[in-house]
Amino acid sequence: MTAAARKTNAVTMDESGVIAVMEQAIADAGVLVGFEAALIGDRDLAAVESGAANAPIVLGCSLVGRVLEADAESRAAGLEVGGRVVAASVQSCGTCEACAAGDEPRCEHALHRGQDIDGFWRDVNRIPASSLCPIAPTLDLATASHAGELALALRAADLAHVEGRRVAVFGSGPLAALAVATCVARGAVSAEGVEQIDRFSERGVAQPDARPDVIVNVSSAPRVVDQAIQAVAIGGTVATCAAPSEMTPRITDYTPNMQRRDVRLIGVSAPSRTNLRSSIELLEQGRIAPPLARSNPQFVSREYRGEMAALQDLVGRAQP
Amino acid sequence: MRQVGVAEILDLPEPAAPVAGEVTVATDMVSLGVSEMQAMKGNLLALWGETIDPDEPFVFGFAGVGRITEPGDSGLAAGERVLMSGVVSCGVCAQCRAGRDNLCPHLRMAGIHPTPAGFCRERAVLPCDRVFPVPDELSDEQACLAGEVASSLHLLRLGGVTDGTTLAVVGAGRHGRHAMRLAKLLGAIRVVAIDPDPVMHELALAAGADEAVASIDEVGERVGVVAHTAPGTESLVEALDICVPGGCVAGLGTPVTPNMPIERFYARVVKPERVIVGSRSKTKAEFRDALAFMAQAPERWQIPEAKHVPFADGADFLSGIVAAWPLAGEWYLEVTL
Repeated sequence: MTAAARKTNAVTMDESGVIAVMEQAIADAGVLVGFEAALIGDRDLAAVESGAANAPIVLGCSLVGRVLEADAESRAAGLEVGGRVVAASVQSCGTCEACAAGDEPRCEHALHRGQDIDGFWRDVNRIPASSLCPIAPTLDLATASHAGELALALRAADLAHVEGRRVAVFGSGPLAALAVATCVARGAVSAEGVEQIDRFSERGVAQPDARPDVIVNVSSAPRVVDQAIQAVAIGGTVATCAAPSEMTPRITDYTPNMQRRDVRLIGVSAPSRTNLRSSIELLEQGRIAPPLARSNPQFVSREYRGEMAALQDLVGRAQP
Repeated sequence: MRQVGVAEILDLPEPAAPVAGEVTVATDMVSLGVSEMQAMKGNLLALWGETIDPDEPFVFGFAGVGRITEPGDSGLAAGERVLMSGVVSCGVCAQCRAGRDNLCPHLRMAGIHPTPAGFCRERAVLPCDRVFPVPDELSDEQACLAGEVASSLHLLRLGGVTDGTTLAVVGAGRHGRHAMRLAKLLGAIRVVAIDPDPVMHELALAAGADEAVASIDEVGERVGVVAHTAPGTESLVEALDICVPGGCVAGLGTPVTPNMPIERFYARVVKPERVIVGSRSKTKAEFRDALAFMAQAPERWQIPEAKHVPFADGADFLSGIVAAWPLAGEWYLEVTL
């Protein structure tokens, strides 16, 4: 790169929560990756909802891009100049037991892109080679941009042990749709997307035997955690993803609703690289098709400058 | 008990003769703990909206040890020493069929619920799947503890305690100390007891804890699992902070406040992928497993706090306890028939 090109445009959020495209310096270390597309996912919205604790910060927990510069190390990792890649959203220490087990989100030093540290929404990124996964050139941008959210859905399905169980997914948006598809792919007996959560909960009270064994909750409304605990079957599991940091759920009647029913509440934060690779494989094989991939209004292309209004609108809706 | 708060020795009709799948047991000893006291004071009855029918009196004794007198088709031998379980499940629902009888929607606790009758009586007839042979290594006194030990075992299993686990136990009461003893047998490499009462620290260390501290704030290195055995909403939520990422807080105790806010939910639960799990009672299989664990190291299940009372004095003793309730320190009674 020339000295003149050591700056890049980035989608940033400042201390006041204002989102804007700003010029930023490019870091020196890492593989140089050009931005091509990203999905505005639930974790991105949760990061914005959480306020600007780490502001100013570059937004974006996911990225599809092209390798612009590759050294010997990155080539050894299968990253060629011009090749398309997706990036892992968690930066971890790489040496602890969790990292060694391929479970980076559980690293004590895990940092989440776009939330704890700068994210990926900038024209040019420097990213550690270990955080990049190559994808097939045949995978279109819109589909590839769902890899991160699909990986999170896979993690939720695996942590909640959905195989052979009845599942409901509380919430809406791409992550919810992907979670339904993922749970089926992971062997759930049934998987139902639930947007009308109040109505679903009422049905559960009336028909206890019809309650799901697992509820994957992708809604950021605090009361939904409580509703999920009450709606899940005895001995069931509630897996909550992508919650904003300011959310304070209140578990009503903890003893009868949770303790005396062996109910399990688990947090799901971000996909590991193993989850991401599984997600890419599923997308490349066409085993899971992203919902509304081409027409999704939350899809961000390289022309994000022109879509700032839409982004601002999404963010506006996310704010409490 | 024909009315709340008044224990008495009654001459009740002999139990009906056992039918297929049932045995008759001559009771030698029963244990009575805090739950029975809560039942006697009427607190649990009020909670459940139940009353005592004077024609079908409340009989104490959730757990008891006795000898088989009529084995029927159980495969047990006459004279065999068995533990009787007061956990009564329907046996036909999906949970029972799956071996999760602790989650049976029709679950009742004999000797704690008004019906069915507990084991503080000379003879009991009960289904053979509620009696468990007592290993020779265990005394009657120790075997009577198996119900409590099984609850702690269920808690540890839900929490995922296994070989190499680091564990903190909130509350060094009876269930907490059973959890400490079991954790060591399950292969836990570090057990920290957390209790504000320094008197309990000695008991916790004797039960196998590697260290004992007064509060969650004093736990140094974080642990993989927290077994929460104390009442208190705040400590249940705060216990999340001493878990490693992916760690689990398994809760046995009943919080004082029914509604539990989880402040900093993202930082405490979602981001580190921690787990909170409620733990109810125990399964039949865990009764059996608890006896087997206890038999591995019977010397660990000493019960200095137990008070022993002959059957003839039991009613007066219980009435005295209720009048003086709440008592300082621990309370555990074994009645010898």
